Amino acid sequence: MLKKTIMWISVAVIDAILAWVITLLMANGSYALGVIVVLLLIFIDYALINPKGYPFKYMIPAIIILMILTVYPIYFTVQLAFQNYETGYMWTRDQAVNIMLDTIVISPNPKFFNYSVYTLYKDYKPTDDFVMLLKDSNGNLYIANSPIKTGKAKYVSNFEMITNGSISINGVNYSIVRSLKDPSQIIAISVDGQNYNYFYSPSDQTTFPNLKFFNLNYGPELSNTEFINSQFGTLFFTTTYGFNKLVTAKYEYTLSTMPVVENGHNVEKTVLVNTMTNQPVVEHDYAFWNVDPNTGKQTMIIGYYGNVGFSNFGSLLTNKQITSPFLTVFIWTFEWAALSVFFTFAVGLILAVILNNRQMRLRTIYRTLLIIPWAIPAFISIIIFRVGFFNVSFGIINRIFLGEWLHLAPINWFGDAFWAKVALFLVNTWLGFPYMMVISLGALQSIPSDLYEAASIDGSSKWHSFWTITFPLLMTPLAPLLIASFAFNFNNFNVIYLLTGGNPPIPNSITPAGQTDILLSYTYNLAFGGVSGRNYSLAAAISILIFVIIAIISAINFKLSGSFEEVNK
Amino acid sequence: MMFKVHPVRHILIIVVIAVVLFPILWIFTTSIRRDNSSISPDLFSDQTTWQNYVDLILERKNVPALYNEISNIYSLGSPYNKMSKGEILNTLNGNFSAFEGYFKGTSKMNDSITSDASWISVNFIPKAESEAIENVKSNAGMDMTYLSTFSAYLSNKFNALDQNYKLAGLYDTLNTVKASQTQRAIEIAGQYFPDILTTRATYTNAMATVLPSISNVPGEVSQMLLENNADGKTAKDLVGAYQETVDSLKNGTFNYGQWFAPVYLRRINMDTINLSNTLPSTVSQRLQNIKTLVFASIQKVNSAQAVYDKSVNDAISKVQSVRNDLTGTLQSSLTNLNNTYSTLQTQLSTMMASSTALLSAMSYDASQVSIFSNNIVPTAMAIDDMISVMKGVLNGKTAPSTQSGVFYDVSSYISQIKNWVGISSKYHVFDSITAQVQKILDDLEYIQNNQSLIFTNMSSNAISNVKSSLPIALLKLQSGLSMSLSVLQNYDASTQKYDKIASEVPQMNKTISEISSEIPPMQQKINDINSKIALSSLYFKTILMVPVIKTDEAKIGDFESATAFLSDLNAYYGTLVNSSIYKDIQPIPPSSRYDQFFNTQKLIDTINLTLQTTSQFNTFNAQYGNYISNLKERSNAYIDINLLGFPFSVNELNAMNNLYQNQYVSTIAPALGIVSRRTNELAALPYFKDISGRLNSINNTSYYLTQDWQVKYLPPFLLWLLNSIIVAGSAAVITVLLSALMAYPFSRLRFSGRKYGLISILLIQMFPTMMAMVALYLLLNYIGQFLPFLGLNSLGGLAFLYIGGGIAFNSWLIKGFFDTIPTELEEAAMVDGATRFQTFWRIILPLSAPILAVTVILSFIGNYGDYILASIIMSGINHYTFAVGLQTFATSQYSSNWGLITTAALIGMIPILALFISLQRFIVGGLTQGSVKG
Repeated sequence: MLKKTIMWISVAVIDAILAWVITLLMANGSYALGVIVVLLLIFIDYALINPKGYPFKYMIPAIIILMILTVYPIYFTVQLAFQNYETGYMWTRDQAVNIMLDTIVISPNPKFFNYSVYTLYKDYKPTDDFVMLLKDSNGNLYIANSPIKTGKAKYVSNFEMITNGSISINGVNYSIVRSLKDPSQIIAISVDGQNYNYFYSPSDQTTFPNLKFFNLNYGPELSNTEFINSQFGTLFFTTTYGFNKLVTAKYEYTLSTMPVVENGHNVEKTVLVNTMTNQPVVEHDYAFWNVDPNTGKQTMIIGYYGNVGFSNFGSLLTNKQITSPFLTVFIWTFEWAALSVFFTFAVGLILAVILNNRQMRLRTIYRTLLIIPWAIPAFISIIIFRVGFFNVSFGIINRIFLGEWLHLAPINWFGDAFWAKVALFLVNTWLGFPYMMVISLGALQSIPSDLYEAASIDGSSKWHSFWTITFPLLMTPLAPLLIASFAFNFNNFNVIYLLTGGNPPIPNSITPAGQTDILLSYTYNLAFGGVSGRNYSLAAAISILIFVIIAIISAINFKLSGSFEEVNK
Repeated sequence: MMFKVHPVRHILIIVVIAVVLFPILWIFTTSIRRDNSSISPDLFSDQTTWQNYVDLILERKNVPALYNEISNIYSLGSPYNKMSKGEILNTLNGNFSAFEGYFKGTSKMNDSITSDASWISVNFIPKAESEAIENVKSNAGMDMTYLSTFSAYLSNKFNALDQNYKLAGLYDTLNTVKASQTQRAIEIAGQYFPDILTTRATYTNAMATVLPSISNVPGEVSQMLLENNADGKTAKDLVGAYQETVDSLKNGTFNYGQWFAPVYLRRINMDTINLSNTLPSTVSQRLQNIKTLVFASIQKVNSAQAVYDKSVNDAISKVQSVRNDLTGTLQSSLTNLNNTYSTLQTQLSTMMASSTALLSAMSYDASQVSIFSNNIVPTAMAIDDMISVMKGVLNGKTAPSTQSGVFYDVSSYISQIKNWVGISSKYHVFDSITAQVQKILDDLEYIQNNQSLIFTNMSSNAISNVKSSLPIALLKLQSGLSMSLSVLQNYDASTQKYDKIASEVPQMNKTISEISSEIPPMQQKINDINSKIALSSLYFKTILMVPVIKTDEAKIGDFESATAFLSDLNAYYGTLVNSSIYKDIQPIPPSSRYDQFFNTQKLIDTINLTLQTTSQFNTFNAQYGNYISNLKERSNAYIDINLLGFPFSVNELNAMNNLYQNQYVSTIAPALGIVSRRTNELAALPYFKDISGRLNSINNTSYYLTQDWQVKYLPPFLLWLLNSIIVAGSAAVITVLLSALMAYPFSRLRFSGRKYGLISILLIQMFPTMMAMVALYLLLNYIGQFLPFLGLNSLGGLAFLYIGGGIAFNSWLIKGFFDTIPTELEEAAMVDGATRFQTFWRIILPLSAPILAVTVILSFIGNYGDYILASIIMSGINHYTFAVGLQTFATSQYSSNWGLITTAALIGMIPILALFISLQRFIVGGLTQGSVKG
């Protein structure tokens, strides 16, 4: 009974938490993740409540993680592949609109206001409470009240001209307190009787010690504050002038209703209007555009992402500047994976054949020493190879082996596609032959020796019996492993990225592709390469392609290794 | 024999192992090298140190690092802006005591170097010096023999020379006489120019006679001025000027031309005038007298010197003229010949060029003419046909006796054609066309000769036919002829020019070859003369220098005299080697014989530099320490001021930095570098075997001194390693735990959905996590907004990804393990009342604990080796994992610091290597279950 109670309570608690998470996600617009959590909720409830769901109880934590980190990313990658999510378009439409609405533009003939900050001290320390004294170019003084928050990172402050040393804003009385010794100095502002002390002014060096406090405590608020006066319009601290002075400025875009023609009908519609030109902003190709009223020329303001269908896949096949480097990368990926398997297997098999003799002394020591390249984390070996061995000017291959010893010209390892590939195969063979040696040794030892005895009685040479007996018998257990190795090298990002970085680059490519890039490193460059911006969607499209290829290879492999049969056990 | 069974296999395998493990050996040796391996020409070095390991593992801050830290504290940079005063002061005091430790260490190391260096200087160098002197003495004999032999050889050669050559060789010696009044050089020159000797004697004599009369002048003047209380600047200057004058006379270095005599005399003159104004008239009169006396004396010397100078200059001009006589005429005629030769050559090449141009013009013209023949030949054939028609008609008829009329006047054509043929017939090129035109000429002459006859028979149809078409043919002929005639004339002119040139060329060639044959013998003569002069010149140099060297050699007793000997010897050898006759004589003895001496000299220099540097370092150390103790006293107040919000610049810090830059960076560090390098070189020499221990100790100590004071960039490798271990380890443990939970029902229970669940796991584990990298990056970016510990740039986020990537694979693997555990135990436990979960928790897990531990470790190794996800998720130097950090460091400007990179690589690989090798058995066993790496 107690157990049941605990069970129900935990179900209730988990459901409550998940329901809250779902609401949160839905509110944030991430519906897919919300759906994933809903599925999780159903699964958990089933596992906990239904007696038939008992086996699933064990799986709950793993399933949660798999759903979030495997299922959702796969869904997300697919979704991304059909969007235009790339540099310049990384906002939702709503975000783009909000960014436009937040853009501030300085008026054509700006007026400038100097300002000083007056702060309320408490226990001899400045507080977050402050008012500002503004001064225009004619020497008129104004009081700006403490900014009031009106929205997310949006503040408003009202300012009014001081007459007779005081002013009332929104029912609060402000009066200035002048120094008795030097009446030109305004040492404080009295707000309903409370004195705010002179704290900071960008034109007064003696207040600079307070700059740090000002920047830290008032800066973020002030840079998002709109100072409003009925006569002057609005003032801002702009990026152009920083906190040096206030300047007459306004929001560059506002929302207003305008009659537009839609489906042949005149309708009133809310549109964004550029306040400088009074022209409505037009919207097409997933972006907003300014229209020049005189020439009609359009300039892009900001882009947003949306579904573009198959255009990413289309551009891989039809856009010449993308297709040709993509094909180079695509073909090289297969060459790379196949030749890597070939070289590592060849070296590994030869060593295994040499070591495959039970009478050989020190055999295990040799084997252990030969395993070392496999045992070292690959990234360390690769980095050392690149920095110490293959570096064109410092590396010991060019400088010592070729230069000092053989007096040969240095090899341009990463500038010449052929030599870059040679370097890659050298390093990858060094890294990968121990694995091949070990699996070959295992397979060799399982071949019964009486087969060879029979062959030698028949007069078969060693070479002949290797190709007719050993090799075919080896391939049966090794084929799945070789295919798996092919799949592994197909995505062997570390060697490519850390050794050559894909270099040398393919000329005339508008995407960051190199002659030794494989599909995965190409994807990485597209998404995180940096120089030419991030094109997440194209990267996702190529990821899907890799998914498909790997799936085919895996299917073959499962067939060969009998993994599907294991499922049915 | 150990390798009896398979020697070839063993050798093969050992070779392969050597090649395969070479990078590992290289990493290790490079990590303990002391020199900069990325530019060293050697693959390995015998100067080793563990400093890189100390730097990376202990992360000890050295002096510049401490300086940066306290600078940061005083300016309250992060993280000190968030600390309380007590904490700040504590850190500061910790740094101060670290500083003091370094100061003590530095002075201790300095003392150790100083004591080694002084020991060497006191106990070894005297012995080494005497050995080195012995070395010079014992080897100098060979030089002496060489020099005597060579001198004898040279003087034989010299004596065989004509007097003129001997004189010509004196040129350099005379210039030496003129520039410096070397006695030996004067004597040599005097043998040929006795005037120099006599005038020199007069000059010396003049100085000697004048000297006594003025030698007491300075004293006298000084006395006189003192008596009259004139001891101002002018008075002192006057006495000084007199003294200088007397001294230069006394030393025999008085030379009006070179010495500043005029300056001194002007000073004497001016000072005397100035003083006269202030002194009593009697005294000033006496001063005037003295001045007059001195001036007169100097005048005497001066005139004697002028005579001497003149004799030297005369000698020089004489020698110069002798030289000119010897080579001057020859040289100028050689120059003339050369000029003529080159002028002729230019002419010849111009002629050849124009003849080539003419040939090509001719062939062009000829081709033009052949084009016109296409016009002329048919015309000729037509006219020929016409004439044969006429001839047929007129056959047998006779011309009337009287001129009855003219058929067609072709005389102008005839003359034209004759003109044409006159040219064309000269050249065989035009033979065929000439024949055609000749035929026309014959035909036309026929017409011209038979005008009356033809005219008479004009009524014949045939002839009237001819009459109508002949003019057209003739017109066509005329145009062809007149057009081709100019070309033909052109051809004619060109041919004539060409023939003329062709006839001139052989003559020209002959002249040129004659001239060119004259040049080498003349050059040879000049060379002979020059080499004779050079020989003579070398002879004089030899008799000037060799006696000096011999004296030097005889005087060798201490180190300085040995140095003087070697420097004179080398100066002479230098002259010899550069002279033109060196190639004909026996080479000089090899200089390596004196290596011991020079190395001893190097040792002395090095020890002196060492002592000087350590003393400078000690002073610098004390000064630096002084600043620190000042700061220590004042730190409380300084920090207070800072914390109260008054920005405060600490000038001690600037002063310390200036001191560091001016003293350490510009002088001490380079000097220590030299000391370190030289002591290393010297310690390897056999004759310094006794002190090699001390030299090595100086070498090592100076290296470690620089390690304490040098600015170093040390990336936080240990932090990166820790990040990697935390992320990879926690992810591995959690992954295996969750996977075990997931695997259990699949292994032990049968339920609906089991098959599809297993297939899903199998499929999911095939796809590496990194393929969804974009999605994962954006997902973590999103999650980070709500749960920062799982977001981008957090260890949690990265571990989260590793867990997600590992679950499917590990579940599949662990299910396999569970399948091999027999079910009887569980059944028994369940009979005893255990629940399902209890059997899992109490039986299955403990039974599979070892294999699960191995899985954890393998999973750890896999996560540790990941670069791609970590590089996407982690940014900011303190968040890097080891892979990202190493890669960033290896692509930064410090990538040539191979010592640090290889050390870091070794530190990062050793734990994994150890784990891997010790788990070999499991890894190899796990392979058949589909685990793939490599």
